[in-house]
Amino acid sequence: MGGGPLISGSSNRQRQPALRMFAIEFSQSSLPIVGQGEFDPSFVVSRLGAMTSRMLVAGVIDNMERRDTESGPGYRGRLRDSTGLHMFDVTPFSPELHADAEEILARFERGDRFLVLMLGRARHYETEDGGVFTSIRAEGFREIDVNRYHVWLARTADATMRRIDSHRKSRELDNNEASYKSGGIPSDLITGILKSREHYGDIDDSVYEVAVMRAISMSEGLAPPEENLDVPSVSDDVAPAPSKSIENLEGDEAREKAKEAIMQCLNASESPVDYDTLIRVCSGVGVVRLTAEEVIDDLRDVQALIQEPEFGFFEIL
Amino acid sequence: MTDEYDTYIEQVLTEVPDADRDAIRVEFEKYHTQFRIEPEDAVRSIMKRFQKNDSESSIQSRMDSMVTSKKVERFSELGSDDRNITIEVTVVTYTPRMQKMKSGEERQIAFGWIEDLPFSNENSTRWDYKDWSNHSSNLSPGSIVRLEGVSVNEWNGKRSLNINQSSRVVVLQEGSAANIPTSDPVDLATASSMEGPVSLVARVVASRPDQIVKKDGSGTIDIVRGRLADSSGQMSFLCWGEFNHEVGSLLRFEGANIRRFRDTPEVNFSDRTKIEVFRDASFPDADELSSQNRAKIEDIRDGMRGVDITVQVESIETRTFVRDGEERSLTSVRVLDPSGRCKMTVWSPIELEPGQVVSVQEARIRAFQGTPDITVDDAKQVTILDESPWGDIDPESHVVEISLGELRNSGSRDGIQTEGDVLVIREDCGIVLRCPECRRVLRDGVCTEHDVVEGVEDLRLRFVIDDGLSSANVVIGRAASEKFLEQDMATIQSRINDEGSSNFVKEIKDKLFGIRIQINGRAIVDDRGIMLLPDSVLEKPNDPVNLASKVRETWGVVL
Repeated sequence: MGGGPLISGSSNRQRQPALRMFAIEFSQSSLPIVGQGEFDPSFVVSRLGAMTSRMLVAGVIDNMERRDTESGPGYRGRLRDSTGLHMFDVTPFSPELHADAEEILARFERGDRFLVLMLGRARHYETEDGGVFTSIRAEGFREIDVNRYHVWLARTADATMRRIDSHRKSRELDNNEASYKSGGIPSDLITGILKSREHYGDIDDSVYEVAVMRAISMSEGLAPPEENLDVPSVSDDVAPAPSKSIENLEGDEAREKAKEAIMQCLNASESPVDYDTLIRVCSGVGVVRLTAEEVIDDLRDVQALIQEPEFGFFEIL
Repeated sequence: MTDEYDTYIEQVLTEVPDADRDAIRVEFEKYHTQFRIEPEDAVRSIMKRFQKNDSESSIQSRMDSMVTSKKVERFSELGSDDRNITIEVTVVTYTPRMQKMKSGEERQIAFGWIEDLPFSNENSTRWDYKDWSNHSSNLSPGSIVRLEGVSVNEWNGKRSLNINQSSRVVVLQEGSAANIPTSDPVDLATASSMEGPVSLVARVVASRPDQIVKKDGSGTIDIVRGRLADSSGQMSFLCWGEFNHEVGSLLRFEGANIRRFRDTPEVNFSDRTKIEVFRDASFPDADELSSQNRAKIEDIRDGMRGVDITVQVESIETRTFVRDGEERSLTSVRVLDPSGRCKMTVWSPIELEPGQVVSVQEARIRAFQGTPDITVDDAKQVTILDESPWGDIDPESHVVEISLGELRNSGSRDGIQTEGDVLVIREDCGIVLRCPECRRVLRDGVCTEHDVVEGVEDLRLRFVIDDGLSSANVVIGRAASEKFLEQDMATIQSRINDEGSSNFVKEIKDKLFGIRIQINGRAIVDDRGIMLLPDSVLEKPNDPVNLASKVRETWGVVL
């Protein structure tokens, strides 16, 4: 007797599945779980209880830039789906992706906007004051057409709804594994929902449900309800903006206007304002999206007048 | 004195008992202040340093002390630097503690109390001890043990015993019943996912004496094999010793052990297992329980025994061979049921025809190339049924649809259909050279088994597919690959010769990344995940409108 049974469960060597997830669910996550052992995966636990290690996301390329790091050249970009933004990195350690990343960069810089399907690992970083930001380390990506994007939206809506449903069920149950199991929570969600409820407490899942509804109506080819953020139309917004005009005085004027509008909007708001609203405010005063984005980045990173307490949401610093 | 070094000094002293405590402290201080190395990181280096010193200066005295063990009855007979002591004690407490090193490595040590004079009426003395090498299984509280090769440790005038890596702990008397690890009984379905000690309440549905022949030829061990059941399922048991309970008895087991034979859990009873008759009028009776014992093909796992199963015959192949001068026959039958398909091997002459439905009793399950097959030792175990319990199944069109998630929780099986998105296209897709003997893929013209051989060209594709809940490795052989890519091997070969294989891989990556494919074939499921070996692969076109309305239906989403 003795010995053997102490070591059990080699199953964490299994490949982690790629969760289908909207940007809003991932960017609102603030609970990282870092694997201890050499082969233990790390996770970011979402409010809905998704244990996110690997994910399959999609959206329009919203920004793309080259970054030179200590370990060599890499790329950083943003991917916008119908609910928000994903930050992603193509690291120096995945040179096999660099040729494709370079192509995306070139097209992005030409003003081309297009849909991309991306496989990646969930990453997070913590700020000194304990804030958690999420991003994605790309493992693979490709351009997709609108039809394929709609397929992704529908599947992601399904996966999100499954999590919403389980999270709702869990609220009626005792907060332990056995009760979740007998209460019909799928086994892949039990640990995550337990951790989510412990960390986030009561959550408001309506934002996720709205995301699902919007995705479903887009997949079905219906006009999205209200605020038209239909992704394919984003390229229409941007395409006519020739990058030359930003460099002249007119550009500076536009930037001043955008800055004014953004600061006004943030001043007027009690709570952080989301990225899209800021962009809309700018376009309201006649500033194109590309300029508005630059101004937001500048206000945040250079002038440090605004900050981004939660990914995609801004407030006065 | 700084206490932060004490634990580490103890560790060094355990390994190098001769080393000077103060010298070790000086060393730790040096590492800490001069080299800026934390004591937990320095402990190994310092241990090595003293071991070296030790071997040069006092190897002889150590050798002496190794051979001359000191046997005592009372703690009071011990000196402060006695080593290699043998003493019998009662274990009072045992408190394990994980000690975490900065490297992330964790080491379990334990401390507690022991008392001398376990078999005497005299007043015993209590000492502290430390267990440095996880003797937990032999040091359960309440038990009486003989400690061999332990050493005295004196610190601030207080003496304790160190149980070291080289020490032996001999259990003389088990701890009282209260100390057997007891837990609430679990059902068999839960137990089957466990390993290690368990408490159960279950009914005996089969039992027969058996013998294990020791491998070294030194004799046999009498055992009892059988099967337990409850409403959640069944499990084989193995009892090392007597088992005097009839089939049908309802029993409670404490201190039983779940072990795995191949992929199948089995509960073991030893003389440390407490077995008692249990009363519960509402517990299902033996007839009811054994009627659930009919397995389906999806349930069978490598290593199962005593399986009753009903299957439909698809095709039969018989061959004869000679063993020990006797002609014998082996019949290999492709069989199916509504849950899947597999092979059945019958090791004695049998007459069967395609389309027949047969009931098999007490079969064994053995895996061949990862897929479990039904093994029948005697044709008498097989009964041909007049009527099929499921109507006729057409073998041509018979597939079982299963999602990757379901597949992961199931076993290896054949005849399935599943789907997922292609997320990884491996770089080694394309033309490979195989060993003509064993079909292993050659590396630089070398087979791991048959050395340098003339390779045979073959085409294969390797993907990872994923449906959001599970992923699977897919290895597609030549025929299915040619059909899927709509190119034959010769074409691919000549293209690879012209353009290089990385271009070929890049092209299929561009074409396939993110598409959904449907696979028909065989799945091997083990602790590394799912591997799919498709008979056919096809791209599954998806209509987003359809998908979206399905999502709305499933979850009742109202727009």
